[in-house]
Amino acid sequence: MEQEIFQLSYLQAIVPELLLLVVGLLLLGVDLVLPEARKRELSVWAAAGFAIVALASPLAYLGEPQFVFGGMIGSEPLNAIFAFIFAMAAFLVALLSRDDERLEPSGVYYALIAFAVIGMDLMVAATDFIMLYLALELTGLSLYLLSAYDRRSRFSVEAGMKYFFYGSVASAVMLYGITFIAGLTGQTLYLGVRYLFASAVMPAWFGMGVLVLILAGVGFKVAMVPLHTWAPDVYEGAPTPVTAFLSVTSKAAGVMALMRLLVWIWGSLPSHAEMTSLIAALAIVTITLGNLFALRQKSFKRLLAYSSITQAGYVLVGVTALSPMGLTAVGFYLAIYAVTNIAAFTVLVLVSNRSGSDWLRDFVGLQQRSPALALALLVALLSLGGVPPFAGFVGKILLFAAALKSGFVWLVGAALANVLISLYYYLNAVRMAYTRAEEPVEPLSIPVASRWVLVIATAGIILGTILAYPLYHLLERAAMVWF
Amino acid sequence: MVPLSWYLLLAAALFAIGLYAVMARRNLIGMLMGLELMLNAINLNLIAFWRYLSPATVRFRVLAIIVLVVAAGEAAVGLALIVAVFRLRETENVDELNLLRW
Amino acid sequence: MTLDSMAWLMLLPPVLAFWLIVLFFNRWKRLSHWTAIGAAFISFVLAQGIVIAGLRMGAEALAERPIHSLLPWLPTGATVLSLGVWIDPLTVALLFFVSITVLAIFVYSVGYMHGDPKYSRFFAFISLFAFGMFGLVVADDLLMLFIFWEIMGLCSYLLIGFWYHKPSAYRAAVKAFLTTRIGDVFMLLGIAYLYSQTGTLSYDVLFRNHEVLHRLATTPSVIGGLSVAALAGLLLFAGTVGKSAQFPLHVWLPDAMEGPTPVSAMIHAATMVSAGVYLVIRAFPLLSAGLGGAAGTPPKVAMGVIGAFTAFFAATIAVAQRDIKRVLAYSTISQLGYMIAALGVGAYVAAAFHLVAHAFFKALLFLGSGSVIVGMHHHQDMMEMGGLRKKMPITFWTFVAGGFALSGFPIITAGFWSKDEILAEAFHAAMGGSWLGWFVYTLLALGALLTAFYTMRQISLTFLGEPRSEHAEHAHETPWTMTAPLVVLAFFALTFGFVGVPEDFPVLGPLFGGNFFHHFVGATLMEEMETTPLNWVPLTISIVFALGGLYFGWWVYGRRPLEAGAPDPLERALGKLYTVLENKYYVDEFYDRLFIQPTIRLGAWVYKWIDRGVIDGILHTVAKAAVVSGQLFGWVDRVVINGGVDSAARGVGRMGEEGRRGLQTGLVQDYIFILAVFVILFVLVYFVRGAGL
Repeated sequence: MEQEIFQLSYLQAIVPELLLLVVGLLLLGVDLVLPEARKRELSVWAAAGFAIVALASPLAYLGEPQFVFGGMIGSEPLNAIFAFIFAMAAFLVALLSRDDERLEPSGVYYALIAFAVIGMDLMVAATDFIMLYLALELTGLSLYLLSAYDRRSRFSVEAGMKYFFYGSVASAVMLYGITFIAGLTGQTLYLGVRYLFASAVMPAWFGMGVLVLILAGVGFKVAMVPLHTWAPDVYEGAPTPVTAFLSVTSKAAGVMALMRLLVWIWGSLPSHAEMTSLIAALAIVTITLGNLFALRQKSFKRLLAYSSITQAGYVLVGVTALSPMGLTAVGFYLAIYAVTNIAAFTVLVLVSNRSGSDWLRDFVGLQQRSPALALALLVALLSLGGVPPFAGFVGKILLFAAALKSGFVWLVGAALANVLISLYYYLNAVRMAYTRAEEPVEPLSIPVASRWVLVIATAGIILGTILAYPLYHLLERAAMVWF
Repeated sequence: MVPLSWYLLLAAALFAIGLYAVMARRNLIGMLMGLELMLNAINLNLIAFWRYLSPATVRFRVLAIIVLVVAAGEAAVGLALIVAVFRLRETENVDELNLLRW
Repeated sequence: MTLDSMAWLMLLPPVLAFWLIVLFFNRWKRLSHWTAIGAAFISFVLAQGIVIAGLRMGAEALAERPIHSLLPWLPTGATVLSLGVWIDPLTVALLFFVSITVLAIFVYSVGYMHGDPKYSRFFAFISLFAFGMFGLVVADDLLMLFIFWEIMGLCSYLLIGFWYHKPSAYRAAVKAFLTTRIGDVFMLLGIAYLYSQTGTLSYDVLFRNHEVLHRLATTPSVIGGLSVAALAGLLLFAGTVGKSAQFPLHVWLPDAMEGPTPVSAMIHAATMVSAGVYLVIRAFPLLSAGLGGAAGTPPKVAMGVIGAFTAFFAATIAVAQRDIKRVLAYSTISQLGYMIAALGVGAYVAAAFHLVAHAFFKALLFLGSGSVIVGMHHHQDMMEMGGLRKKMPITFWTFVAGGFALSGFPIITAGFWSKDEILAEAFHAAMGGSWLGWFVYTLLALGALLTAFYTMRQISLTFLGEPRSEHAEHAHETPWTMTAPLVVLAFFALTFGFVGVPEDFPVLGPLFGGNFFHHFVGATLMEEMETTPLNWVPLTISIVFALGGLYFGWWVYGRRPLEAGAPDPLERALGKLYTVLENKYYVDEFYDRLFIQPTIRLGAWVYKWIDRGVIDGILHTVAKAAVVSGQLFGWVDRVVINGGVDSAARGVGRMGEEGRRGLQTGLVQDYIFILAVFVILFVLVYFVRGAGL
């Protein structure tokens, strides 16, 4: 198990992270010399940087799956794929940030995004508890600051504060659990711990107890019930582009970290049926509660917050399967969910630029003001609601099929019933957009950067359906590495 | 020699007290101190495990130092946020930070 | 060009037209409608090409080796769910009428939608709709069918709510979407269940492989007493109940008439709602697999009972409607019930035959009513019409052709042959001693009588007598783009039946080549279907009921035309019953009371309960425990965090108090508290259970 701590070739496995570090530092430097009036140009530089990272992310896979840096992280195709997804999300959010008139992004803002992406890349790649904790903290600290970025807004600062305290406690609880694993097994490598669990050296109840402690940290990132309480407040208070970013990426990173822990370590427990039923129960509670709370929302931003709790629940349905198919479906859904949610938040940014608030009623007459924007909203929300032919439907089919194959018929049935409920509030938002406004409205033009974001995201939603087969195939090959 | 379980109990107590402080203190600085206490309890746990069960490994000490560094980072971020809150709201009372709810 | 590539190509033009119009052409009205019509025409030509090629190949050859071509699309585990096209005799029959009616809608829309501000968008939507319908017909497995099914559901939603500035239109759209979705969820469960049992969704395996069917029919399902085939069949049938508007999910269809009048109405009469019937026809081998009671398998009994009941029930409502389109809407529900009841008694071919024939004459009637509505300047109340015979001659004569076909006027209409086949089969089943056969036959025969009556009522009120309002006075014939489709459809409504004249029918049987349709479509099942021998009893009853109903309708409404402002003569005759019928048996109100209001209240209650009740209770209990422990460890508190017991107790008490305000209090300390409760609770649970081992 012991392996060399450092080799020059290992650096290739962290090329995306190194590039992100360079991008982040450059942005900080440029920020110092750039005059105030030209600060908005930074978004283009940042987007270009993230695009380069995205293009370079395949390099992170060294050709065959292996551990690097003393087993702290793995070099796997799946890590490269997620490095790509996170960089793309950062790219879209950087463009979007430019058009949010309530936000004044500086170099620090984009650098924090870059650092958060580093953390999330490592969270997915971590194969050691120390690395997992570090990645979690790096992601967390960057995101706390991003949430509080708009220091003139009482909401933003409050969101950052809540996020900080909740996140810090959650990660401390997780670390407390890690000390027990590390202390009693003498191991921090996933595979070392797995060996001791599988050979029943550690009693099963110990494994389950520690899992609950670790869930506090990872489940917090996923925003699964009952660790979701922070999410609506933070999502609502943070600047909208930041919300788009963290509702998509940190959730995805959390799910992947959780899935790896479950597949690699807890899946080997003799009592792993108990563990999957715990996750299944949390999944269905997450879906249902998110749905119930979303039903009554009047703020579109908060509605999307609860909706993204629900969406995380659907992903957990796939996690429950603990099979290659489940992992593939989870990866597929997370990628689709990323573009879909970013599209929805982009529409929100553009609408609230004019209205100055996030209320659902601001969407009335959107169709008259900008048919393209209304159509983008329709596509995004129907995809979230799982209406064919959009990619969200394909993703849900895959998740549910994986859970069915693993025998969770009741879970899929309950999830399907929830899909029906969720249509209500998604359609309600669509209805607002397509309702004719009473008084005359002024047309809403879409700025260039956001236009690109919408085009790319909508294309993703549609291509996700058309190219389902090759995408799935790619992810499936990557997923097989874990099993 | 003092048995390992004593150290673990002490660490657990410290951890619980820290958690309690975060939950019950109304002052933001007090909450931050509770957080630091939790991290210190974790370190105590870690070092006790290291000393008693696997004194040969270096990983534990590395992790302990990492935790110290992270704790410093958290304190910095936390204090920065507290300052931002104070400037805007002129309060350090966490109860008043409830604009975002329901 | 091979047949399978023709089928693939056929799907492309409508979807291309949709994107072209949405993205580029939406400012140019003419360009939009030409794009859409051009696309529909190309699809029409290709579809008819497939039909001709299919006829040339012959039924047996096509049934033995259907045209089947696959593209890999969605892999699940080891197997790949593919997109595929599947052409067998049943597909050919569907393609024949779908392509004709779709093209007819498109041409007709040019006239009907003239001057609408959202003209281009309308053509985009119906192009997408055409894509959905063609895709559904040629789909080769249940998943693909479901996807196209949902695409049509989406189009239907968009088109019903097309005039969304009318609140009624929007409400109708949501109602349609959500009501059909209830059926769809069951259907999706059925599909998932079949998939989990067989690992495939392809028609080839599910509906043609006798071993698989046998296995499904003999394996008991999760619900006691039902085989897997029966349970899956019932779930699939639930999808049909939603889509084809059968009782109790029929409520959306009449409201769907809020859409742009004849066109979306026609989608909701001739093509899309047929998809539900198509599904059960397609799945018939599965639905009838295995043994059931004396009447048949559980899905068949369900189909027979629900179909026959709906057929009769909707016909009674149609009698008392005043809106010209609503009469047709209920008539559609009723006729779809005939097809489903036919399947219930095992009349596979008869159901398909009526499906095609009904599509022609119901499309005709709807387009005719649209023409009347345009002529009447968008007034739809039949009580305000009258005397349109002279003002709109083409519309009148074609409407009469459609109406007579609907009533089953003997010999010269398609409706006579198709409906008679269903009745004959039901009668045959009844003679065989099946209670279901009696039930179906009785209700359908009575329904036929009512059908003829309300059709004549409609024709009389609309066209005969003298104009009863300003608008009727000034009505005028509509442009050729609207009347030409009427004439084409009238041709089919009258003559299509001749492809299915029973062999042993005197003179006409041999003349028309002995029930061609029966042999062609019947071959799909790949087993010899026995033809029911001609029986004069049901035939005579049918003829008497059709003619009697028409005469009675004329006697009440046509003989002495209604005066302007006079009440419906039926109102006096039926009294209270008329009000009940006019209000559609109060089903909507009933659902509102039973489901909608309680759901809203339940939602609010659950929200409150979870928020304020459960969480609150837990918080209280834990808070109390914490107070106790707080006192115990008070001295630690004083030493370490300099707080003291007082502040501890206060803090915990405050938490309990604030907990009452629910889960999302906005206070981060409460959130952390929930985290702590979760962690401690579960660690304790696992610890206790571990220690107990």
